[in-house]
Amino acid sequence: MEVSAFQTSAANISRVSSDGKGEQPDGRERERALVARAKEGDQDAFGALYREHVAAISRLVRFRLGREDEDAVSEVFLRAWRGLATYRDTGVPFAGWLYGIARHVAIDALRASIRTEPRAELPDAEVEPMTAELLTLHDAIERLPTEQRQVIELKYLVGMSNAEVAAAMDTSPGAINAKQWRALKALADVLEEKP
Amino acid sequence: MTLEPDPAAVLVHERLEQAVSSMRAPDVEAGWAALAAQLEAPIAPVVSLRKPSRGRFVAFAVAAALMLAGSAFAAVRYVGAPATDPVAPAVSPVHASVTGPRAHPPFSGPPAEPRSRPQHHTDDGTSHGRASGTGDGGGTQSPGGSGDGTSKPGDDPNDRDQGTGNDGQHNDHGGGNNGPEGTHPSTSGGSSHGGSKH
Repeated sequence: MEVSAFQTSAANISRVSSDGKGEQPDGRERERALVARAKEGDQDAFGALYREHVAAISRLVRFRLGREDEDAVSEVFLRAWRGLATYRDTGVPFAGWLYGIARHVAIDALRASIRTEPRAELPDAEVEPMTAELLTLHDAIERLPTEQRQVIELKYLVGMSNAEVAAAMDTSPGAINAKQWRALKALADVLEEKP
Repeated sequence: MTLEPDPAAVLVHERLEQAVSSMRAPDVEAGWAALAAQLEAPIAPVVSLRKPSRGRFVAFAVAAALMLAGSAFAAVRYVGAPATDPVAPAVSPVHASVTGPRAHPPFSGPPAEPRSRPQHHTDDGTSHGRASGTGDGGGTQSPGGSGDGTSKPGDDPNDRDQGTGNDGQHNDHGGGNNGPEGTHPSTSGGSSHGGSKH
């Protein structure tokens, strides 16, 4: 079985990582140096990391919460700053570490909103069309198995390359390619089933 | 065989790309300004309050050197010293505690009667009892005393030699044994030896 056609398609899919950060060895080394300086309390280095990753984290938080939430994005980076001493460079990209923090922050924010906002007051009539599309995709992705959901989020929202996702999930880039394919197929099935 | 990508999967891929690209980019600088105001110094790792100081190492080194030097010096002296009789040391602590500052030279008069109590031997070959009096009347007596062991008027109240000798502070009223060897003091009728307060 020849898989070149799928690999071509997968290569196009991988271009979602528009900024291409972390794909070059120099970028990886630069990020390591920034993390090392930030661990020593260098706020400028942490600022550089913030500027590099805030767009991805903002997308992830918005996708998870269904709305923009600057406080949640700030909370992600605050927790990252406070927990930098515990960060160990095990080959997982810094974005993968931020992704884990963002997931917890999003869960906390959803719980807080459930406690504070009555469901009847949620603005569901005046949503933007794109937000409706996001919510549709969000609901469909939530029904995927955990592994496939993580692949979709890391690839499309965080913008990681196959190699970075593979490092974050402790597998090979080829396996990530196959997982991505299966995840997209499963997501299509869920979207077709959805009324 | 060529693997054709699933059209549905490709469609989902395009939907995802479009959804992500349509998201408004955050205001990075404004967000960083707000975040930087909340940043505080990261929690420093736990550092021991006692930092290793050079002075402490020097003190330990000097103490260790002194101890080694002292041990070596003692060992050298022990090896170089002549062999001594381990049985009869020059001065034993027990002997010193028995005789103490009131030790007197050995009595040169009549030989002491055999005693049942163990005696301490010194390196000069003489024996010393706990009290070196030769009288056999109760208690201890001075060699030159009356031998009855009782105090008499005129005796120095501070006299505590318990009859171990005539030290000049003791008035034995002529009861001293200055008679021939083996005679009883009471029958000797001799005079006091050296009694200053007669």
